[in-house]
Amino acid sequence: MGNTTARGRFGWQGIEADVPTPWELSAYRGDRDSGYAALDDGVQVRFQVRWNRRGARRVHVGVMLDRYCRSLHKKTKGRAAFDRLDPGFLPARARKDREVEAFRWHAEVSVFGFAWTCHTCGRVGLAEVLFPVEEVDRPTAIRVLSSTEDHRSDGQCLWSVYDFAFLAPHTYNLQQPDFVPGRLCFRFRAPERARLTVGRWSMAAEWLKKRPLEDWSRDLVAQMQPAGRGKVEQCRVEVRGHEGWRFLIPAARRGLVRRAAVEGLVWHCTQSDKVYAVVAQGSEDGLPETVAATVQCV
Amino acid sequence: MLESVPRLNAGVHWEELDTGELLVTYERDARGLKRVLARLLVAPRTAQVVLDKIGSRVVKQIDGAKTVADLVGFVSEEFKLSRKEAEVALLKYLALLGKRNFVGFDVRPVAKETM
Repeated sequence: MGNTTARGRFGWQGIEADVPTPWELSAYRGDRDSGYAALDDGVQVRFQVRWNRRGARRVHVGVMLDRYCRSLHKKTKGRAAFDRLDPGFLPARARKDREVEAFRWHAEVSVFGFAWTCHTCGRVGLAEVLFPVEEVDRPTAIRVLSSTEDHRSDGQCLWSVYDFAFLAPHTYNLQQPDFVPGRLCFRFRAPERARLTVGRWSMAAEWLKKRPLEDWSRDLVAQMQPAGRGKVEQCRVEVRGHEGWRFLIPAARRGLVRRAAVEGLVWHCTQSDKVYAVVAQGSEDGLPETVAATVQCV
Repeated sequence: MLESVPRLNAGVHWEELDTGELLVTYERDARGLKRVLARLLVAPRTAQVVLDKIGSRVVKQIDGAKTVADLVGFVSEEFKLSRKEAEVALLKYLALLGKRNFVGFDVRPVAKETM
């Protein structure tokens, strides 16, 4: 598997790919079972991927590609020139454990892509790298497409967008990405009703002027849904060599109502001028530390 | 949009304060009923607004030569934001300044091939 949280490694809903650093997430929809994501370079879409879990029905990649070719012709009113490429277009490691067919088409843009069906995780997908017609870069296309993966073997899921990367257990599904410039927040939920929030605040110096780091824990637990209630216990810690705070609201029971514990970490990286936070509710012990250890804070 | 060049409105007065923030003095846009009310209430013809430190640093980069893409690069590097975060934030801010008529935008013509 590729380098886990290095910059340039895109990660979203279990799909990973090595992409040139200027390409950033510009569109997304769906969830882990069925979805779409696109990365652009500020001017146009450069990488896009669609995925679906096939369920019990076996999907032939060739049939999938025929269907895609027909829809492409319809969309481009017959202008797209579509070709299937030799199996050797992608290296053998890209074809391991999955059925793959590569293709190329061009109209107003020039596109290299491949469709696949994975025997391990059951996903079917279609990934494309797009170029302006005068800037076709076949080696880059091969590099990006051959690095595209749809599952990991370590039970984790890489989330890596906008220079913010971390690993979370694959059982945690993204509920609500909250992305505004300067604040990126991922909210996850696991089947056992456990919750996880991972956030990054840029321009930390400005945020910390309004509220010192030691006061963040109260706001962070209040943002959990349902909101954490109870007295917050916190202590100063060092997180990845940075000043941070560990906080906890212990589990409690009031009559028949049981309230899960809320625990978390918040730390300030002065070098990157960012604050990071990992907050977990009702989850396995030590999850905030486990996730925090995977956060690349530069 | 990214290749357009923002320009400061010459009809607006820009003054840098000791704090580094920019004080913007502009004429109120009083038309129709607003103009009548302004005369009746003897309202001042100019108004002022102070841009915050971050906004002031961005506006100081507008020199009539840098494109919006250049400013995105500046914001990304200066404030350690990803390109997309910088782009979204800057475009929103420039739209706000444009709405207040503090800045305008020159759209560069695309060079045509002669052959």
